[in-house]
Amino acid sequence: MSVVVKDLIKYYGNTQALNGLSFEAQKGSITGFLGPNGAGKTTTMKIISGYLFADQGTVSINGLNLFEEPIIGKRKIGYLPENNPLYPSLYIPEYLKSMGKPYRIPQLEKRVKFLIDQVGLSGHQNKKIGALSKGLKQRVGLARTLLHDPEVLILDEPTTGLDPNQLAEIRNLIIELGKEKIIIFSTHIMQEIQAICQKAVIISHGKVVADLNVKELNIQNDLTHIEFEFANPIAIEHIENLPEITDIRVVTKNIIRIGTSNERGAKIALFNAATQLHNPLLNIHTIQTNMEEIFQDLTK
Amino acid sequence: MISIFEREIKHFFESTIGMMVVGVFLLTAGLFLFVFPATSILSSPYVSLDIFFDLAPSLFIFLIPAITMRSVAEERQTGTLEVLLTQPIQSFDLIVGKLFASWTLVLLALIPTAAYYATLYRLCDPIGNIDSGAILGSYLGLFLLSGAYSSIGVFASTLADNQIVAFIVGAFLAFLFFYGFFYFSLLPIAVGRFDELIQMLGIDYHYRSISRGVVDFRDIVYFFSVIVFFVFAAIFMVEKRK
Repeated sequence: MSVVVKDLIKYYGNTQALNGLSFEAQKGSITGFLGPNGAGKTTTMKIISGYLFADQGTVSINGLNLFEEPIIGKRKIGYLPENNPLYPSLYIPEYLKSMGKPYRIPQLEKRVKFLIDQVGLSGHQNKKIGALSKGLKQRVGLARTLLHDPEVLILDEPTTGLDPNQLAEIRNLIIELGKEKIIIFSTHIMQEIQAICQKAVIISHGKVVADLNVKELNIQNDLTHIEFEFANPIAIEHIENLPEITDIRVVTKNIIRIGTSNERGAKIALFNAATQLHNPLLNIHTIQTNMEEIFQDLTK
Repeated sequence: MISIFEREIKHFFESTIGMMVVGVFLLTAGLFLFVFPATSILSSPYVSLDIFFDLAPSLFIFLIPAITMRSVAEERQTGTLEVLLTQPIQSFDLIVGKLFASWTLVLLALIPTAAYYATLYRLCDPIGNIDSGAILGSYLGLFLLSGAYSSIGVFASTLADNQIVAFIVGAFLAFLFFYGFFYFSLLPIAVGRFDELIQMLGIDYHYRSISRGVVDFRDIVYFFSVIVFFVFAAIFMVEKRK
């Protein structure tokens, strides 16, 4: 099972939003969709969800051309837009039932109950959607996209604006769902891609600039980067010959960044060096750089 | 279509707008019919509901766009339109669902006015000496007219994200269709040549024809043509803005 997006071109008036964008997403893997603001993430997602038409190109879901069979195609897709629009005056079950009707779901009532449990909204059924917190609203939105048990889930920045607890909960839910479905999800947060995605598609100016396997990337790049902040300016020649340090870069006068394959060893060496130089260490910070650096390089 | 219709109706009753429109309509009609001396049937030697049927189309010019202004504009503004259009429904379902919901609300506002008829029926001397055929025809005319206004209003709502814009455009188009064509036909260039033709394009012409109690097939066709035209214009606008 797969979603194949091929050569999408989309204009808004004279502005070109997508410029021959292509990628694939497979079942059982979560595809992270990354790009700076205005790169075309949301436009692409709107096209895959069937809301917008592309000027050129195709989207096929298991070989079914979405533009030729929009009604059948839309039954296979669940789409959560960026700002998660809901009807604030409705109660949760009422909203889900109402939104489920166009899909002609057998035993809709039962399905709604099941989903309310699945996304963890059981305690809030008597509340109107307008009275819910942002995290809970996000769950209502997710439950809505799951109503018809779609094969493909398209989530446009589903974790934006959530507090850390809500963030973790929604992420876990997405990971759980990703086992069974094709998930395409966009985010600004690099760590999120590394944490939950198997695949990262990076886009810039309406084009795919990188299509990466996140796991391979993590293994390939076995260097850990650590930033050390000293109290006083540090001369690089004092530390460049220390053991365990493969790569060294000056960030500011007081801060250096090193690359190492032995995080513990490098930290001990630097700590001892700082003591000998009478230049106290103020801060040690391990950086998950891989995705961020790639992202910055590619989308400059 | 049904889910959209249900949600709309529910919204009318839960928000104040539904009740307000029905309330304002009945209150205004009641004032003109029974209170204001210039128009009150109580101070008239003849018993007729003409005042009501003359007044209702003008009131509806404002009230119906007030009902329909949010229909598509609000869904677009809040983004729920995006969700609806990624469901397996056609734009047709969306527009017709909205149209029927608005039309239904207007019909609900009309039902209590049957009390006016009942009152007049009793006021007559002898009792029941009233032109029931014309009244029935007038109700049919109002029913069709409110459908036409509703379709105009829903169309106006597809034009902008802003509800106020939708209201003003809707009210203007309804005014144009009701009064506009008649006044255009009075232009010197039209008089004696194609003035009747221009009048026939207006709602007013067909509404008056039905109100006489004679149901002409052509009038019915006219009203449904207007409704179908604006429904498709609305669908076109929704599709075009994709």
